[in-house]
Amino acid sequence: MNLRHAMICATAAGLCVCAEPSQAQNKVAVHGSVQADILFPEKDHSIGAVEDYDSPILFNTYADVTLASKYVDAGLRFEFMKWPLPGYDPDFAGWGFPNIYVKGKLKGVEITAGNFYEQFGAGFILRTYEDRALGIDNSILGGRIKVNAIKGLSITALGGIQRVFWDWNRHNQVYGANVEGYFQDWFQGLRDRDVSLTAGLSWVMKHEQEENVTLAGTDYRLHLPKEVNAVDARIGFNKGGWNLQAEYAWKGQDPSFDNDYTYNHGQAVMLTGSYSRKGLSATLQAKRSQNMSYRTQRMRDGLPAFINYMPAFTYQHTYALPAIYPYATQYGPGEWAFNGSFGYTFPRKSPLGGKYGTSLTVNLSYISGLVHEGDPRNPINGSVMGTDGYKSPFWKMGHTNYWDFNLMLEKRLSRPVTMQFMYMNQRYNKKAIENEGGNIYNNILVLDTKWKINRKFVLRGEVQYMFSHQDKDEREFMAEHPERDQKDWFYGLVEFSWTPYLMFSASDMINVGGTGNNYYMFGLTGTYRSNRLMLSYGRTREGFDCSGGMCRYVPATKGFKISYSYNF
Amino acid sequence: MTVIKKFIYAAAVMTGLAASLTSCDIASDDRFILEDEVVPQRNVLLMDFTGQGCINCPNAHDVMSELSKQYNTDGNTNLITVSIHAGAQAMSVDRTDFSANRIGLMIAEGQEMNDAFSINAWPTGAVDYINGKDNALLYAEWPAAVRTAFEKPTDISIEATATLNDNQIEVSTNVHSTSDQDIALQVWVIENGIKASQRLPDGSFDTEYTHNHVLRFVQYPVKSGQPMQLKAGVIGTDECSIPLKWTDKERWNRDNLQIVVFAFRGSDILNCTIANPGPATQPE
Repeated sequence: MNLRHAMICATAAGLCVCAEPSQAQNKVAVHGSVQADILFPEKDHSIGAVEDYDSPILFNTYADVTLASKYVDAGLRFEFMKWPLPGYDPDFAGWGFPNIYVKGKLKGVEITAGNFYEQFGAGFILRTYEDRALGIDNSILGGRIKVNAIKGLSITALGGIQRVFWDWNRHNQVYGANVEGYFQDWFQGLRDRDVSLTAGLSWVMKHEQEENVTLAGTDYRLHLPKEVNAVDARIGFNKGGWNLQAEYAWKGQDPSFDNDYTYNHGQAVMLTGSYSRKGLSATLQAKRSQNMSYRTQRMRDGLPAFINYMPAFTYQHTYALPAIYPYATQYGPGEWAFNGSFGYTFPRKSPLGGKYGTSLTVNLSYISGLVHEGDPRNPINGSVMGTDGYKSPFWKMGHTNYWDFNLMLEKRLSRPVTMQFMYMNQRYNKKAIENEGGNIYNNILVLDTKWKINRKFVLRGEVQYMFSHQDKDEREFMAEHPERDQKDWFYGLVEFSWTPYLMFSASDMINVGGTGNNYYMFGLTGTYRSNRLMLSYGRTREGFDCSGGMCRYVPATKGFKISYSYNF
Repeated sequence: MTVIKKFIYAAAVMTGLAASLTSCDIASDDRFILEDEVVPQRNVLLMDFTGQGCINCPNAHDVMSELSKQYNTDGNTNLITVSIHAGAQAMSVDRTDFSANRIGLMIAEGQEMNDAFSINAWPTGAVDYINGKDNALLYAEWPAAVRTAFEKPTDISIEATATLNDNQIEVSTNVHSTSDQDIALQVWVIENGIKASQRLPDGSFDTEYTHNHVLRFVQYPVKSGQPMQLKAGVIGTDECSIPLKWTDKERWNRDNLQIVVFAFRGSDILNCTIANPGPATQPE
C-alpha cells in the first residue's frame, strides 16, 4: 500500500467515525458535493460535429466530501472522466482520488498534508487552483505550514509535487515561501485613520529533472537548469473607498517550449487603483508581463502544468455573442494590458435615473503584444534556442492583440420589468491569439428584458446582434475556410421560470453572415433543496471556453446533455 | 525583537536571496553539451501532423529538413519523414480547385490518424508510433526522440521495391524476422515538390510553398494494416498495386512519388523503409 492509498483509507475512516451532519461547534461537520455533466453526442456534419468518441456517453463526474472540526479538517475527492466531455486534453481522461488532504489547526498555526491549493499575491509566481470547465487542477501534493500566530504577520511555507492530470511526477517539484505584513496591526495611527497598509514578499522554486532537448540537425543538447526560482513583491493601500496596489515579479532562466528554449529572465509588473462609494465605482489597471510562462514541465503547451497565473485584464462577458471572441493571456510572448471601468447609478427620480434609478457601467480593455528586437541565433545550428532571446524595450508596445469597449445600462422600466442594454465594440487579433487569420472588428448590441409576472413566474428574453467586419488577412482565411462560421451573428433567448423550482429556456444562435448554421438549444432546469438538475438538447458551436484569460478549445457538438449537482 | 524588526529582517533576507538568484544563471558559453554521434540501428519514421493554414508548421518543416540532412547521408535514408495534413488548419483534397490554383492536401486517412492520436494542436508529431494517444510530440521534442529511436534495437528488417507500370505502382515487400511474431504491414504513397499555399510564421500566405513528403494514399486500413504472421528466418512477402491518381481533386506527379512501407504491432512501429518508383529521392 503506498502513501496515497494509506491517506485515502485514513481519511475515509476518519469520516466514518467522526462525521455527523451537524454544525454544532464542538462536533464535526461534514460537507460535500456531487457534480456530473453528461453528454450523449450525435454526429452533425453541417456544424462539424463529426468526431468518433470511444463511448456513446461522455461524462465528467466529481464527488467530494470535507470533514471540518475545531482542530482537524480532512477532505477527499473522487473523479471519474474515463470518457470525458469533448475538448479536454487527451491526458485529462482517467479516474481516481486525485485530491486528499488532512489539515491540523491550533493557535494560529495550520499544517496541511496532502493536496492543497495556494496563491501568492495576484498569482504571478504561484497560483494553484481548480477550474472544472477548463479541466485545470494543478494542486500541489505535499506539505504546507501557515503561521498566523504573530500579530500583523502571516507566513506560509510549502513544498510538494504538482498534479498534471493523472501524473504526479516526483521530478516536478515546487517549493515556496510567503510573508505578508499588515502594518495597520502594528500602528495605531493607521487604524485611527481607517487605513490598511499591507506588504508581501514571496519566493517559489521549481525543480525539474533535466530533459534531453537536442538542437535539430546536430548532436548538441541544451544544458537546462534543474531549478528555476521566482520572486514576487507587492504593496497594497486601502482607505475608505480608495484602493491602490502594486506588484512586481521576476523569474530566473527557464528555457521551455513556450519561449523557444531561450535563457532570458521573466518579469511582470502590475498597478491597480480603484475607488468606490455608494452609487459610484472606478478602476484603472495596467500590467506588463514578459516571458512569465512558469510550468513544472517545460515541454508542454496549452493549459497544463502551470505553476503561476497571469490575471486577465479583459471583461468576462456572460452574454453569448460578446463571448464568441474571448482573449487568452499570452504567457510566453508577453503583453501590455490596460483595463479601466466606471460604474455609476443615477438616483431614483433624477432626470437620467427615472422613477426607479438607472445603472451605467463602462469598461475598456486594451492588450498589445511586446516589441521584439534583435536576431538572436546560436552558434550551433543558427536557431534561437540557447540564446537570450529577443530584446523587448520596456515602454514599447507592439501590435494590438485585443480591444474591448462596452457600455451597459440597467434600468427598471416598471415595478415588474427590468431591462439591460449593452453596446460593445471589439477588435480581436486572431493571428496573435489563435495563430490563424487576421483581425476581426465587431459591434455588438444586446437587449435583455425581464418581466416578473408575479411572485412565482418570471419571463426573460434576450436579443443580440453582432455586426462583424474583417481585415484582408482574415478575409483570405475565411475564403479558404467557407465551412467555418464567420462574419455576422444573431442570438435570441426566451426563458420562463417557476421560481425556485423550474426553468425552461429556448435559444438559437445563427451565423447569418456566413454558413447560416443555427445553434439551437432547449433546456429544462429543476431545483429542489440542494439538488439541481438540468436537461438540455441542442447544438453547441466550436469555440473557446475561457475563464480568467485561460482558454480551452471546444469542438462543435450536438446531443442530449444532463447536468446534475448536489451540495450537502 | 519587535514584529516590525522581524518583518524587516525577513524581508532583507529574502531580498538578498532574491538578488543572489541571478548567480544561478547558465552562462551563454555553457548552454550546449555535445553528445556522442548516433549510429542508427534501424530506420525511423517521423510523422508530422501539419496544415496549410497552420502558422507554426513551417518551423516544424524546418526541423524535419534539418533532421533529414543529419541522418540521410551517403545515399542512405535512415530517417523517413512524412507530412500528414490533418485537423482544423488543414485543407481537404475535396476543396481542390485547379482552375483557382487552390490545392488541398488533407486525405481522410490522415484525419483518421490525427484523431487516433487525439491531436488538437498543430504541428504535432510522432516518432516510430502509430495511432497512439500517449505518443504525440511537440516539434522541439523530435530531435531527441529520433536519436533515441535510432538506438532502439529491432528484430524486423524490411525491403521494398516499387515499379511504375502504366498507371499503377507495383509494390513488393519482403519482411524478415529473427523470431516468430504477428505484425501488421502498411504501405503509404508520399509525394514531394507539391506547390500549394502555406501560411507562414509572419502571417502571410505563400501560394507557391513547396510541400514535401506529403501523405497521398494509404493502402491498408489505418488502424489494423495488413496482418502478417512471421516465422523466424522465413521471409514474409506482400504485393500490392496502387493506381496513380489524376482527377479533378488529386493529381500526382509520378516523378515525385515515393513509397513508405512499415511494420507495426499495436502502436509501435518496428521498422520502416522507403522505395522510389520513379526518379524521386527524399528531399531535404
